[in-house]
Order: sequence, then structure tokens, then C-alpha cells
Amino acid sequence: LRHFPWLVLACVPFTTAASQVSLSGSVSLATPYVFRGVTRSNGWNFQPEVFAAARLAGGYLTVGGWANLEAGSNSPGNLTDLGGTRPGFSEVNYWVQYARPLGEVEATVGAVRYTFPADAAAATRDSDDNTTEIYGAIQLSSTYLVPRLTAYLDVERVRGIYLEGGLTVPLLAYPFGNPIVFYASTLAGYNLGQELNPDRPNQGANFRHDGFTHFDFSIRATLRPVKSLPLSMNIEPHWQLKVDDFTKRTSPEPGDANRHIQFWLDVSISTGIGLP
Amino acid sequence: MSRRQPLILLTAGLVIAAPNYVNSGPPADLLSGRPAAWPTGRLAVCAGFCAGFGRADITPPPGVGLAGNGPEGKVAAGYRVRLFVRALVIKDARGESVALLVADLAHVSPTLHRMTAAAVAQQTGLTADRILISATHTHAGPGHFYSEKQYNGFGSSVPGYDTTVVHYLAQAFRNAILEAWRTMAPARAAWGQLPVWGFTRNRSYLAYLENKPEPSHPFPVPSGLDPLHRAVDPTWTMLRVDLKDESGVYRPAAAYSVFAIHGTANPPDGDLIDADIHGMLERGLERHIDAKLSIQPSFRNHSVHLVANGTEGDVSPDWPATARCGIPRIQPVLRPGGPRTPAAPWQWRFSDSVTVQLCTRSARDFITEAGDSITRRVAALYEDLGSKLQDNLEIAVAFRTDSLPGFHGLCPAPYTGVSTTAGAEDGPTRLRGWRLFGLFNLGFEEGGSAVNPHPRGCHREKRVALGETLQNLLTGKDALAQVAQLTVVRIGDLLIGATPAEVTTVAGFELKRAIRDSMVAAGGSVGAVALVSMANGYIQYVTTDEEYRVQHYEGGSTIYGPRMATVLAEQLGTLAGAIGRARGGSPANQVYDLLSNPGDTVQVLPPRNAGPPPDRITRRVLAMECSGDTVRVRWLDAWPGRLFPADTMMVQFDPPVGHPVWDDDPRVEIRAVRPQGGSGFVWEARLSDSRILGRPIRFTATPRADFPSPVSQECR
Repeated sequence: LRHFPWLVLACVPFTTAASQVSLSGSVSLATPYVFRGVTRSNGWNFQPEVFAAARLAGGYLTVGGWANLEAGSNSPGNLTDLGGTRPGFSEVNYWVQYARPLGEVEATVGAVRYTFPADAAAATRDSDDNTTEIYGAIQLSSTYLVPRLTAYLDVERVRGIYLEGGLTVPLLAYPFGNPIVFYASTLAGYNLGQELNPDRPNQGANFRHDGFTHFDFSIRATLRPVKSLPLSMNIEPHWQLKVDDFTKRTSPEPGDANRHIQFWLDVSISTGIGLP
Repeated sequence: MSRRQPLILLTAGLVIAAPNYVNSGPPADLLSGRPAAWPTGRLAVCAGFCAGFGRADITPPPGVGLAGNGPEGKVAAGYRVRLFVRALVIKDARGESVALLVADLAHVSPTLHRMTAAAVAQQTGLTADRILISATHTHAGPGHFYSEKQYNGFGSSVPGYDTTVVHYLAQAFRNAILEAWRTMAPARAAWGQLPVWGFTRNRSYLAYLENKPEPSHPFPVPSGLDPLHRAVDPTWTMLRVDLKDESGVYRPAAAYSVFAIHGTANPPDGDLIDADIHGMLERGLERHIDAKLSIQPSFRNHSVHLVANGTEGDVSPDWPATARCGIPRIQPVLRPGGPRTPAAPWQWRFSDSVTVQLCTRSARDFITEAGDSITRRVAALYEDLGSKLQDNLEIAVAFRTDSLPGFHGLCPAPYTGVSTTAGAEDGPTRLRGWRLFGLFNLGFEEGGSAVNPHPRGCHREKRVALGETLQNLLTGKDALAQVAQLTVVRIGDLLIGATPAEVTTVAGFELKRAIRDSMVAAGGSVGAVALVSMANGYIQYVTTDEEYRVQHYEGGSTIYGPRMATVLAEQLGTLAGAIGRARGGSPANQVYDLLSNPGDTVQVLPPRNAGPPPDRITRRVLAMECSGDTVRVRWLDAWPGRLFPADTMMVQFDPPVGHPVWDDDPRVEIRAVRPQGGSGFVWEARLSDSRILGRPIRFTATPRADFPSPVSQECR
């Protein structure tokens, strides 16, 4: 499981678009936990999420929380934020987001607070690494290509901008009955100021250098396996080309310290009930 | 819940080895369980040339899948112009007889044909070979009755075979035949033809042009007619039949017509059961005949006009561009979530309600105008035939059933082409024009990449959708049509050929030529040949070899390969020749048993006991609104299933002037809106008519068997 295949399993309740106010929760099982190209933990990770949403001015105002629970695979052979050998939350995020369509464009703004509750001496990240980002995204809807550009600005500990540009295209869709849709996505990460800053050594860093951090290519299939249940499944293999040095380390093994290519498979199962 | 339907054996007469179809003794009312009465009166005690007409309402309640546009079709929310099956039974002085039926359906199936035959054989002596049932091809009628799994699975957006639908339709067909049989009287008949140009066009013109030399037309082409409108068979064939009344006078009674026009004047986005343009053509001449008989307009016309479809494979009604609403597009959908929430699945985005309203109105305007214009011309033909009526026409019927796989060079297995998945010009699917990454064509189009660049094997240029292996895996064995029931009927010197296929214009010319030539070669005389499509089953399309090469929708849907037209021409010619060799009489027709493979059985038709019983429902008008040229009424009534439109009239509007307007009128829409707890079901009736502007109008939900009290309200 260290290198191939890696698996992400998520159970994500979804809400109906027609709900005026909704409360949703999710839990994911992921290995490894890769964030912006950086492999944060390659043990088993549970990732619960809860959020409340309200329809507002044609869009959704959402407030929620997300956490990563490192689930006991914190052996010396695994990367870990938490450190130690006991399971625990390595990361908790709180966020607020507003998204609404503007014609064929979907616009999103939000803020996310990253906290790292670990207190073990061996922890890679702890409360000193807590930080906050604000972000905005635009996504264009068209028949074939759906481009999305997201900008994250760290306003606290790391400072600087991280840009993510993506392009999604539906490949094939079985349109009738329970739909099965295959998508292809490409994504590029670009760092503008979140790298190591020699002038301010106490400042946090997500990357070693500025510029492109990684490129990701994935194919996602979504389907509803059981007709009578509000259950959807995502299967999404990823191929990632690592550019920044921080993204190239995929495990503590010396041989994995400078990998250029990473592959993993996401499998998520989503279910839920919309609230009135 | 669905359950597996076993292979069903359909016989010439009674259905055997069919658990759902066993029918002994008097036929039961299969929906209510009440025994139906045997027809009374003298049966077929009529000497000489005799005819009778019948009609039965086949409008189902909302909830059925609308067949014809495949999975792109909607689920019926209600109805507009009612569906009927109409029957003409004729018998000559020698005792030869035939029943001609036309149903307002997308297609018919061998199951319906054989069940109908089984149901009438005892009373009428009409066997399966003597019954010709064809469909108008409206794309707004129910599915779920096919003999083939694929058509039940993908014929509409509601997959499944429903034995209740099958029994419901077969019983209506039976009733129509028995009514015709009961009312048989000495008759006079005459046939004639006229060209009807300008209301149809070839929807697959590039494929049509592949035919070299360009076919000559049976009628002179009007000058100024553009190529698309010329590339059709404009022939309207009509058999007029007058019946002798009790006073001994022959009076106009009805007509049987054949004309090539797809039943696709309505857009696929409509969610109402509707007889489409054929509904106008049927009723138009019926009203004309009723007027001649001084019969006042009523909910149901007195006379009967059957409009069978001709070689309509590539022939569309000339609907305006504004009569189409656009195809769905898959797009991301805005959903609540945050930066870590997994991406939501994309969804299909459909035309908004305003767009659908506008394009539907445009289509209906075309249907009304074209229906009226065509009716005027057809009524003139009907009048012309009045001076040519004869009472000594002879009838003959030749019939055969062919197993299609490998038959006379047909492909050993049927396959659907990739161009079929793109849909025809009338009803493009959401896959039409789809390109991988927006760049690479996968064949979801007519012609182009739908053509196999390296033709090989029996299907030659056809690029099989998903490939033969995968299509076999997904659809299973025998999922497409396996048999063709072919008929040639002689009525005087008019020959009517009938196939279960949708035949293109030029392929139709070939088939008709084969019928004519074979009859002449056998020593018979031929005045004219008409070809009826979608009769006694459904085997999809038949193109010419040349049209097949370019793999338009019709070529991709020619499921047994490029020799289909040739083989059908041979077989129809054989039938015509057999009549000729029998000196104009019927040869000995063999009627073989058939197997059907309808796939999973589901219950689609709402049950007769749906919702609360009648004694717990207080029928009442909930709201009535008169705004501009529209009256909208909501009333509380029984659930769909208990409230069966086919049982009788549902609503009536009484304007201050003119005759009442019933729910069979194209200006009236009926929709089942929603259940209202245990107190009933909310229905909506909408009347749109500029003549009611500012005038008082009364709405009545009419009495029915279990609901004797009418519900009525007036607004201005």
C-alpha cells in the first residue's frame, strides 16, 4: 500500500439542490492524503466533514468543518503530520464559502482556517502551523470544457498565493436512467509566495520554490450503483507529475524522497438525504 | 419491482404457454377484472360486399413512458389529443375478409397482433393473417408493449414491459374489430390517389441523394418546390367506403388512407399523450363526413378515418425550426459544499419551461395549420371518389412470417449502428454531435464517423454501436426484432403491402415496384400500390443499399444490414405473385407460432385501485382562473388508474357561443398534478382559445361510472 495503489474512500452525504437550508456530513477514508501535490500522510486517514448551507441570492452560503484523522498507521515507514503512533486528528479546517452562478460562470469566494492540533514531539505540524487562507474561484460551464481557476491567499502564517487551474471535460455519459458519467480532468498548481522565505525563516512554507508545483491528471467516473438508494460512487485514478521539491517526497523511504510521478486511485461513495 | 418475463409463445389463434396471456372463455376486462360482455346482435350476416367500422379509445392514464423518442421521451403527465385504434373490416361476396386497423401508437408489436387475433377469432373467424394492424407513429403514445426486450427497455424513458398495457391495448383492438364486425353492412367502395406536396420533407436528404439515378416521382413535381420537399413520396392513397343504412341508401361512412409522414410534428420535450398530426388528419375528414351526414359535432365523431403511415422512414412533417426546443447538455451543477467537498456529479440541463412552452406552441400551430390544409385536399379526393363507388370489389390477403436472422442473405444477427444513438433529425439525442474532448468524433452523428471506414462483414458500412461483442453483452440475445410479418392485401385493383419496418422513400419505391411487377407477372391487374409501414410488428428501418452506405440514422437503424430492402421486396413480391396466381384470391396463408422476448416485466400503468376509493373522494373544483385566452382549472378527483381517460369523456368547457369543447380537443390539455393526501388527486385542465377572451365559460368534470355527480364552475 505504500506506493501503489493508493486509495481514497469517501462517504459523502449530499443535499438536494432544491433545499433552502441543509445540513450535510461526510466521512472519507483516504490513503495517502495528498494535498496540493504534497503527500501529507500515507497511512490510513479518515476525513469527516460537516457543513450547513443556505440558499442565498441565487447561490449557496455554506459553513463547515473538515478534519483529517490519522488512523493508526503512523509507523516509521509512513509520512505523518500527527507524529507518534496513536490515532488522532492531525488537521482540522473550518470554512465559510459562498458560491453562485453568474450566467455561464460559477463564482466562489470563501475563507478557510487550517489548524493542526497535534502536540506530540514527533509531530510534523502543530498549532504553530495554524493559518488562514481566503480564496476565490471562477468556473466556466460549456458543453465540452469546463475550466476552473482558484486563487488561495494565505493571510497569516505562510503568506503568499497559491493558484490552481483545472480543466474538466466529460468523456462519455450514459445519459438515461441512473447516469454514469466519465470525466477527464487536468490540474496545475502554481505557487506565488508560499515557498520558503530565507528573509523570514519563521514564516511557514508550503513549497520550496515559486512557480509550478505539480500537474495532476485524473479520470473520474460517477455512477449510482443502487437504483433505489441515493448513493453515488466516484472512481478517480490520479497521475501526478511532481515539480516542486516538497511535492516529490511520497514516503520517508530514501528512494521516495525525489519521485517525479505519483499514482493513486480515489474511490468515494456518496450518500445522503436532502433536508427541507 | 420487476420480474423476468419468460419467452412467450404467440400462436396464430389462442396464446399458449404464456402464463400472462392465457385466455379461455369470454375475455375478461383485464384491467378491472370484470367480465366483458360478448358482442350482441347478428355477426357478419351480410351478403355481398360488406364493411363495418369500429373505434376504441386507447388513451392511457398519466405515468406511462412516451415511446418513439427512445429514452429521450418524457413520462406522460397527461394528455391532449386522445389516442384511438380505428378498425375497418371488409368482406367481399366470396366471403374473403380482412380487418385493417390503425392505432395511434408509435409502433405495434407481434404480441399485440397475435393477442388481438386470438381474441377475435372465435367471433369473427378472422385469423392473424387477416388482421393488419399498423401504427400512426405518433411519438407521444405509450410504450411497454413490445415483443422485444430492447424496445421495451429503450423505447421510452420508462423501461419495462407491462402486461397490463399489452392487455389494455389488445382488448381495445379487439373491441374495435368487434364493433366493426357488429356494424357490418352492405357497402360500396372506391380508391383514389392524389399528391400532397409541401407538408413533408426528406430529413435524410444526403442519404437520399446517394440513390442514382434520382428516383422519378409518381406525380409531377410542382415548380418551385425545393429539393428537400421533392424528395418524398407525396402519394395520398384513400379507400372510401360508404355503407347502406336501414333505409337502403348508401351513405358516407369512413375512409382508410395511407400517407407517408413521421408522427413527429410535436417536439420530444412534450410530456402529454398526443395523437400528433395524425390526430388532426383523422378527425379532419371525420368531421367532414359527419357534416355531410348533418351530424352535429360531439365528443366522439360518428364516422371513422383511418390514417395509416406510408414510406415515412426518411420523411418528416415540415415542422418549423422553432418547433424544436434544443437537446439537453451535461454541465456542472451548483451544490453546497466547501473547498474539501468532493466534486458533485454533473447533471443534464434541459430546456427551461418557457422555451418548451414556446416550441410546443410553434409545433402545435404547425400541426393545426398543416392538418387543416391537408384535410381540405383529402376531403376533395373523398368527394371525387363518391362517383366511383362500387359494390363488387374483391378482396384477397397474402401473408407470411419470416424469421429474419440470416434469411435470404440478411445478416445473421441484428445490430444497431452508432448513428442510431445520435437520433434522427426530428429527435436528436443528447449524444448527437458529442466529441471526445470536444475534438474527436466518436460516431455520434449521421454519416461521417458513423460509417465504418473499412467495410467488412455482413453489416458492412455500419459502425455497430459499442461494437458487436459489447452490444451483445449489454442487450442479450434476441433483444432486437427477430421476425417480420408481411402482408399484401388486394381490394379490387388496389394492392396494399404492409411491413413492420419504417421504409425510406426510395426503398418504398422498390418495394412497391416489386409488388406491382410480381402481380402483373402472375397475370393480375394493378391499379395502384400503397405500402403501409409499422404493421403487425416492428423491425426498425429499411433503407436502400445506397442509403445504407452513408449510415444516416435510418441506415444505422437498418438492423439486418444492407440487403433488407432487397429481401423485403422479394418477399412482398412473392406474396403479390401468390395472389395473382390464385387468380386474385387469397393463397393458403401459413401462420406460424412466434416467440417473443419482451424482457423484464414492470407495472407502469397505474392500477385500477390506486388511491382512495370513490366514496372517499369529494370531487370539487379547487381553483379556476380565466386569464387572456386561457382558462385553467384545478379539480380534485380520483387517482390516475381509477380515472382512466379511455373510459369516457373527462371534462367539458361550455363557452357562451358555439358547441362545447371536450378533452379530445387540441385546445385542451389535461394533466395529473399531484396526490392530495387521502382525499384524492389534483388534476388540471387548460383551455387555450382566443375566441374565449373575456367571455364567461363553464367548466364541468363530467360524470363517470363511479362518480355520477358532475363538478362544475363558471368564470369570466
